Amino acid sequence: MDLYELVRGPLAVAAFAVLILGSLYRALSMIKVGKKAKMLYPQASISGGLRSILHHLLPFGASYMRARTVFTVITFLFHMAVIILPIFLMSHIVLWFESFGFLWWELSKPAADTMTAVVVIACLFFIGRRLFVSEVRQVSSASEYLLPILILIVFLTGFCASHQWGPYRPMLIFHIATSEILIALIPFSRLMHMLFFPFSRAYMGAEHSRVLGAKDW
Amino acid sequence: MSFFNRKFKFIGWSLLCLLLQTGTAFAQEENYVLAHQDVFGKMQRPAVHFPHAAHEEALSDEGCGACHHVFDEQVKKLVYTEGEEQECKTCHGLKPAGTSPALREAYHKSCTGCHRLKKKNIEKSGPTTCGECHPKK
Ligand code: HEC
Ligand code: HEC
Ligand code: HEC
Ligand code: HEC
Repeated sequence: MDLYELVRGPLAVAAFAVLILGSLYRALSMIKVGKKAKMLYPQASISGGLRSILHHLLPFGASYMRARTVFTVITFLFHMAVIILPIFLMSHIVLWFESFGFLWWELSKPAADTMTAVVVIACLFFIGRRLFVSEVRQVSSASEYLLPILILIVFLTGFCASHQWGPYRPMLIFHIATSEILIALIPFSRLMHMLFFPFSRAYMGAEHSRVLGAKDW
Repeated sequence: MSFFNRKFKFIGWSLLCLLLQTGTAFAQEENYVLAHQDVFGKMQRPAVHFPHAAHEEALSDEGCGACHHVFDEQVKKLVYTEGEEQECKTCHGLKPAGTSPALREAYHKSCTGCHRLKKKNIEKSGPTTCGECHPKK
């Protein structure tokens, strides 16, 4: 079988299967732990929880963001780009069509290139921050260096493949393979905040509003 | 009589030549460079080189109907009719129309679809990656 067809077909299916089954496993084991742990629960406060989620989604919505202007702008743009780009990139849509026969709205080329630049700059910023800001370095583990490096590689190789810079086929295959590693890593790494952040935020929000009568943003 | 005969022969040959000439205007090229700016506007990807003659040869078993079709209103199906091979863009435009795909998707489904299928069946096949069909320069 040719290598492109291998990463394009079976390995892509495998990566998404790991993502979905892995997330389910993490969610179920989290529920199980939550049920038996000797843990103090705040009284449920739906409004406090929702407000905390909202404040932490909006740029400058929380005080730690207001204290760090550059960091907030970069993180916000990074998250927009890193989520929107893979879903709405024209080349990816051509591939979805190849596999499933349906299409959706696609980004223009300049918009896609701008978003790639945002992700690359943001990753360099995140890596630099972990390396050079001592309070961040002290709480950084190896995997937290690895993730921005992996994302950087995925986006750079994608850009090069799309613009046909460098050896085309190896670049494309490397781009797809590293993306699949990234997707499969989501449930087993810090990337799980994609799924878990609303819960931790809701918990903090509820605890602060009901128990402490304070804001957590 | 012989004068008329000759005259008719002359007219006949002229007509035949005329027919052949208009005939060649509809015949396929050996190789196509597909870059339909008239449909797509500003092209997002480099032009596609499509060797028509090589495909006729490689697909001699499947025939021209592997790519060319017309819609038969009676049976509501796509059929191949000899001599009715037209450019894809005569029927497929920038936007899909009902169940008929847009031009880009018509090409991709036909070209990439066949190449991937043949790769899967470990037969002789063509390119399946974007950059190999849309090579820069
Ligand atoms: C087997 C060959 C083949 C492959 C593989 C292929 N294409 Fe195409 N593509 C074509 C053909 C043929 C056209 C029609 C070109 C025309 O008529 O101008 C086309 C048209 C397009 C167009 C519309 C014209 C334009 O440049 O704006 C885009 C965009 C495009 N392809 C992107 C892609 C992407 C992205 C991939 C990979 C995911 C891809 N193609 C893979 C053959 C291919
Ligand atoms: C692999 C697909 C494929 C096969 C097989 C194939 N063709 Fe084509 N043919 C095309 C494409 C693509 C074009 C270019 C159409 C365009 O410009 O949009 C074309 C163009 C043509 C044209 C010119 C149409 C025009 O109006 O300019 C003719 C005539 C034609 N083909 C006849 C044939 C015949 C006869 C056969 C069988 C011996 C055949 N084709 C087999 C894909 C194919
Ligand atoms: C005479 C008009 C006409 C021409 C010329 C034409 N098509 Fe189509 N094509 C249609 C129609 C109509 C449909 C939708 C059929 C249906 O609704 O079932 C269609 C459907 C398709 C489909 C989707 C159905 C399928 O078989 O998977 C593809 C792919 C396709 N065309 C490719 C092409 C290509 C490639 C060319 C040029 C070589 C071409 N068509 C030329 C009329 C045409
Ligand atoms: C029905 C199957 C089929 C369809 C449809 C088809 N191809 Fe192919 N293609 C082949 C096969 C088989 C080969 C291998 C030919 C050979 O090696 O002799 C090939 C080879 C090629 C090659 C490589 C030729 C070379 O010299 O190496 C290119 C480029 C190509 N196809 C482009 C296209 C494009 C563009 C389209 C759509 C307009 C298309 N093909 C549609 C079956 C198909």
